[in-house]
Amino acid sequence: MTDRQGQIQDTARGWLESGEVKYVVGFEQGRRAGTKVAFVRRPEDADKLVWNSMCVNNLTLFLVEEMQTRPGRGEELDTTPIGIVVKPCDSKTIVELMKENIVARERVKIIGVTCEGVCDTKKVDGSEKQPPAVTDENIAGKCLVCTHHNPLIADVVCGEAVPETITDDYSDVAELEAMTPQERWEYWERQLERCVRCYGCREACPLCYCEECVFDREKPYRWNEKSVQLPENTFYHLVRAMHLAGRCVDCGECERVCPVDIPIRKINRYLEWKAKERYDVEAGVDPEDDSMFGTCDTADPEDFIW
Amino acid sequence: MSHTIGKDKMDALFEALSEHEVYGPVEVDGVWTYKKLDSAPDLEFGNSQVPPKSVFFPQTETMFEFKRDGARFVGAEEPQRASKPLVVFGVRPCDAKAFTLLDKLFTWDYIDPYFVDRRERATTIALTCSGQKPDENCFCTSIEGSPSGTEGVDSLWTDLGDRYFVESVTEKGEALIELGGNLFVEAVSDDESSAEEVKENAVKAITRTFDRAEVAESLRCLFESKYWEDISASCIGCGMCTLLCPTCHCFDINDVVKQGEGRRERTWDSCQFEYYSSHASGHNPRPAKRMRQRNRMYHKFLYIDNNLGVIGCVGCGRCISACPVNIDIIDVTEGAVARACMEKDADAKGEEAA
Ligand code: SF4
Ligand code: SF4
Ligand code: SF4
Ligand code: SF4
Repeated sequence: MTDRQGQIQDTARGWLESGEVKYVVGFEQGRRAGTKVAFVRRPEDADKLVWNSMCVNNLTLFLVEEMQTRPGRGEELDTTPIGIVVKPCDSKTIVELMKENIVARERVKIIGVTCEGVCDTKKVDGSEKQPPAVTDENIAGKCLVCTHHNPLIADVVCGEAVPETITDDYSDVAELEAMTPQERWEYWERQLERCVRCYGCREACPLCYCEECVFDREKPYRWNEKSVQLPENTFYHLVRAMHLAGRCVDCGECERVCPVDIPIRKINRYLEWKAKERYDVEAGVDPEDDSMFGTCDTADPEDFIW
Repeated sequence: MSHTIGKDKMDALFEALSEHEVYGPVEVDGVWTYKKLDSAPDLEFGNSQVPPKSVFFPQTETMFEFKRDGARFVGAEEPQRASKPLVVFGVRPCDAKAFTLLDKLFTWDYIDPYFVDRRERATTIALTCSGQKPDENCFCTSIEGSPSGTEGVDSLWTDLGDRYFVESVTEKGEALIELGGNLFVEAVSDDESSAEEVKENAVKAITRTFDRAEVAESLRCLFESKYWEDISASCIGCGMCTLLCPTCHCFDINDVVKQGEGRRERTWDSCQFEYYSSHASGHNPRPAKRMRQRNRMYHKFLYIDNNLGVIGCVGCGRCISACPVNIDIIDVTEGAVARACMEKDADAKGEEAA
C-alpha cells in the first residue's frame, strides 16, 4: 500500500514540476480513517496524497467537471491536462467517458493504481482513527465481483499487477430474478419508499453527466413531480437505471453515498448482466467499442419486449 | 416531580394513547426515520438518518386540493386536518432543540398553519443520549445544547436499563404522566442519581468541539474570498447536508395536476441544488457551487441569527456523517476564522508596503 502511495506522490510531483498537468486530483487523509478529495496544485504538496483502503471515491467525477468547465467571458479555455488518481474500476469510467466523447484523452494524465479492494465505508466504524485493513467483513460489495484489478487505461501504473481470480456469475442479482414480479415489486417498494431524493446517487455518478438532468427540467414540462413519494421516487430510479444500462461500470458510488442505504448497485448490476447476456456489451473496457444505445442491430434479441 | 416507567409498560402506554397520533423512530433495513406508529415505540437506537422535523414539516405535504372546470381551476379546499393530539417518542435533544428554531421560523413573518397546527397538538418526548449516541460527530455541547437538553422538550426520558427515568419539563409533559396513570411510578433518589450518571457519561462521550466565537464576524469579511472555491472544490452538489439537517427548512411549492384534479404541494428543497436559485427567466444568481456552499454557511451562522436570534445548527453531526466527500461543517467554519485572520494580515501588509 505505502509503495503505491510513494509512486503516486512521485508521479504527481514530477508532473506538477514539469508543468505537464495543472493540478492532480487524488486522496488526502481526512480527520479520521476516511479520506478527502485533494486538488494538488504545487509539487511541494504532492506529499499529502495518500493511498489506502478508504480511497473509495471515484474521482473521475472531477475530470468530467473539468471537461465541462467553460471559459469566462473574454477568457481562453485552458486545455492543459489534469492529473487524476484512479482505481481500476474508476479507470473504466474514463474509458466509457472517452467512448461518449465527454473526455478527450489528451486532457487527462492518469495515475492508475492496481487494487485488491477497498472498504465499504458504511461497514467501518466512524470513530476509527486509521484506515483499517480490508477484510472479508468490511470489503466493498463491488470488490467481491470485480474482474479488473489492474487499470484499463493509465499513463503510469502504481503497484504490482494483481492477478485476476474472480469469475463474475451475477449470483448476487440472480436472487432478484428468481423473485416473482410481485415479490420484486414489494422489495423495491420497501427500498424506494425511503429515498429522500437528495440526488446524491446522480451527483456522485461520473456517468450522470447531463448538464441539465431531466429531473431538474421544468420546461417545456416537468417529467417527474417533486413529490418525494413512492411513485415519483420509483420513476426517478427507473429512468436513471435506463440511462445507465450498458454504461454503468459498477464503481459503486451511487450506493456508497446513499444516506438511506438504498441498494442501488442491485439495479445497475442487473442491467450490466443483461447487457452482457443479450448484446455482449461490457462497459468501460475498450474506448473503441460501440455504445450499446448508439448501435442498432437487427439481430438484437427482443424477447423482453412484449 | 420525576417518575419512571418500566420498558415492559410501553405496550400499555401505547394503548393508553389510543386517542393520539403517535410518532416515533422506525427502522427499515437498518435505516431509521420517524413514522406514525401502530405499536409501542422501539427506542433502542442511535439517531435517525432523517430527522424528526418530518413529523411537523413532512418532506412532501399537500397544502390544498382543487379541480379543473373548463379552463379554470376551482374549489381550492384545504385537506381535512387531524384534530387528535399528537405524541412523538424518542427525539434526541439536539433535534428537539431544532423544533424551537422551526417554531420561530414558521411564525416569523407569516404564521404557517400546517406546521403550527401540528406543533400545538404535539407532546415531544426526548431521549437522553446513551448507547450508540453521542457518536463521533456529535457536538451539541458546543452549541449551548446537551445530550440531555430540554429545549423544545415536554418530557425528558433517560434510559436506566429496564426502565426510563421521566422528567416532566412542561405542562404537556405532566399531562402525559396523568394520562399514563399508574404506568408511571414516582422516582426514588437512586433513579435520580442513576439518570444523572447517564447524563454525565453522555457529555463525556462527546469528542468534538466547535469554537464559533468568531465565526459570524469572520464570515462577514470573507464574502468575496477564494476560500469558498477551495472548500467547495470537492462538493458534488447533492442535497444531503441540508435535507437531513434538523434545522434546514427550505421548501418548494408546486401544483400537481392530473386528469382534472390537482393539489398544491410543498416539498423540502435544498440550497445546494443548482436549480434552487434559478429564476423563471433562466438567470441563476448562484450558479457556482462555491456560492452555494457559502450560502449554506452564511444562512446558518449569519442570516438565521439576524432574523430569528439563533444559529441554524444544533450540532447533531448528520451533515458531517452523510457527506460523500467528507466536508465537515466545523472544519469549514473554523477554517473560515483562520482564513479571515490570514487575509486581514495580508491586507495589512499590503497597505504597509503601499
Ligand atoms: S472494484 Fe476492483 S478495482 Fe474497484 S476498488 Fe474494488 S477491487 Fe479495486
Ligand atoms: S442517494 Fe439515496 S436517498 Fe439520495 S436520491 Fe439517491 S437513492 Fe435517493
Ligand atoms: S448532538 Fe449527539 S449527543 Fe447531542 S443531543 Fe444530538 S445526538 Fe445527543
Ligand atoms: S448543520 Fe449539520 S450538524 Fe448542524 S444541525 Fe444541521 S445537520 Fe446537524
